[in-house]
Amino acid sequence: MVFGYLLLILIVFLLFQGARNFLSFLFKIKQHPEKEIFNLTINRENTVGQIFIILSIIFFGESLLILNRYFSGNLSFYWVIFIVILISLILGYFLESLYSIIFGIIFLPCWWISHSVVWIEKRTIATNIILSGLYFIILIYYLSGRILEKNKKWEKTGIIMHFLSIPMLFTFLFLLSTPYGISLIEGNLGSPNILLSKPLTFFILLFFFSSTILLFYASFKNFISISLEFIPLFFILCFFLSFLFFQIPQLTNMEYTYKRSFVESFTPQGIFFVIFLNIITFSFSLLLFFPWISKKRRDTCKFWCSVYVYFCNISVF
Amino acid sequence: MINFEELKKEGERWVSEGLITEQQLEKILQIYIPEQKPSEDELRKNVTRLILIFASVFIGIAFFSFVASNWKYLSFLTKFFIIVICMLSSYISGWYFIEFKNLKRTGEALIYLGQLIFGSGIFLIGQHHHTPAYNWPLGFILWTIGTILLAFSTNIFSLFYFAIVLSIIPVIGFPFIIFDERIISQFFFTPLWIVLFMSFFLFISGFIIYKKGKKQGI
Repeated sequence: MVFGYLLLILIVFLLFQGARNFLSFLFKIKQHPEKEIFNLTINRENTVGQIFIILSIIFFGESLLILNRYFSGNLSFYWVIFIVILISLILGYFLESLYSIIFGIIFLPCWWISHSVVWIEKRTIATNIILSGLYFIILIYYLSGRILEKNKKWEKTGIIMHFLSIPMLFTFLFLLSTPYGISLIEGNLGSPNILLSKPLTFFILLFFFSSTILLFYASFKNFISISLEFIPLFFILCFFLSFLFFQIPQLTNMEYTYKRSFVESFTPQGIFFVIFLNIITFSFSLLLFFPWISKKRRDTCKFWCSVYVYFCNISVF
Repeated sequence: MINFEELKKEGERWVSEGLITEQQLEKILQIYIPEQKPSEDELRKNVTRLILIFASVFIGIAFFSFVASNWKYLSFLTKFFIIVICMLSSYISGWYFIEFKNLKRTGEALIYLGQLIFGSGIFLIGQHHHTPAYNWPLGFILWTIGTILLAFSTNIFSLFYFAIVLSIIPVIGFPFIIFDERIISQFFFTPLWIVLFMSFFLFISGFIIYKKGKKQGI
């Protein structure tokens, strides 16, 4: 089924891209040099050097795991992953190595999901806090990307962060707008008190403050549009922030299972979440679709994302 | 990519407007002159190179099967010397073809062959000294280190690609050993210092190549 959707997305993309190329050819419209933007490295030496650096980071992680085995597993596997991500981001920054940064960017949300589940299970904290943390991380990526792409030295890094954050944000919002996503929000059986787990508190506050500071900084310095980006992003930020303070009325295990098996029957708050999240996803996809028509810079990637979101939404309805 | 034809047209316009002189335009165009399409002779050379690389890979595979098969009738020393002699002869002949006969492709293929025989030699020694089967990623680590050193010394860049493939194998293989709870004794583990050394070695080599590439890019 998933492959079917992917195939459909591919066909639609090819059709649109073909139509766009045909129109450009017919009316002799100049295409923007997008290929150059996505050219990540200068030459083969640069590529091989960066791959070696990533491999060295992974080997360092594996040596930490061996060391951990020698010392009877005092350092958990998740912390090793976190150290590896941190090293890759730091090295990427100091060596200006794009591959290391991409490696860190992709694995940080994976680490957050896997590790926060452990913290939450230990202290029976509400599971939807994981979702808040994930949104804060994606927001940091998006805003850092928007800020960095204006800086000449870090332009490519910015573009990559921006490019990666859009599908992440859409996948995240789309998944939440489905019955499964609603069950993730509603199916929490713990308390929303994040203070029960110290590392969870530290990281969630770190992600929250970083994303909020970046959001205000980016809007203050005009890196992002106030009406099109700041307001919706801030609105969603408040929505996810509310998970840290308010407990959604819990469903018992029995009810939860019942609702999951008959997804047509949502609770009143579930219906609110469905409407809210679907409106957000649709409006974001519209926001991404229109710049593509007006042929602004780097729009193909945004177009991809909008097509992806449309299909996801159509598949649900 | 800069479109050469468009740049030429723009340049001619700049000359007519008096922004630049014709000499300056020529100099600019010299920088962006497009690469010539490969001639028939070059294509033939590339095909020869591919055939030679394939030949060396197949001979290398043959060596691996030779090492892996039960050649019980030969002593360890005989097997070891067969491998060492074959490895050295392919290295030396490769070097000879590159340096003295100006047959770069043939030489490179022979050096590749030597590198494959080097790998089979590592596993032969491992087999003889009854290294635990758990430790197979260690062989690939040693092989990667050898390949990178050879790539630096011979200046054959494609050997770095080969080293990347070789180093990915232990990266995937190690977690299976580390998380295997059946392995209780530390004796069966890959020594920590080797993995740490590999990390350090890869970083230094990566850093050197990366800086070189950056310098060339500028």
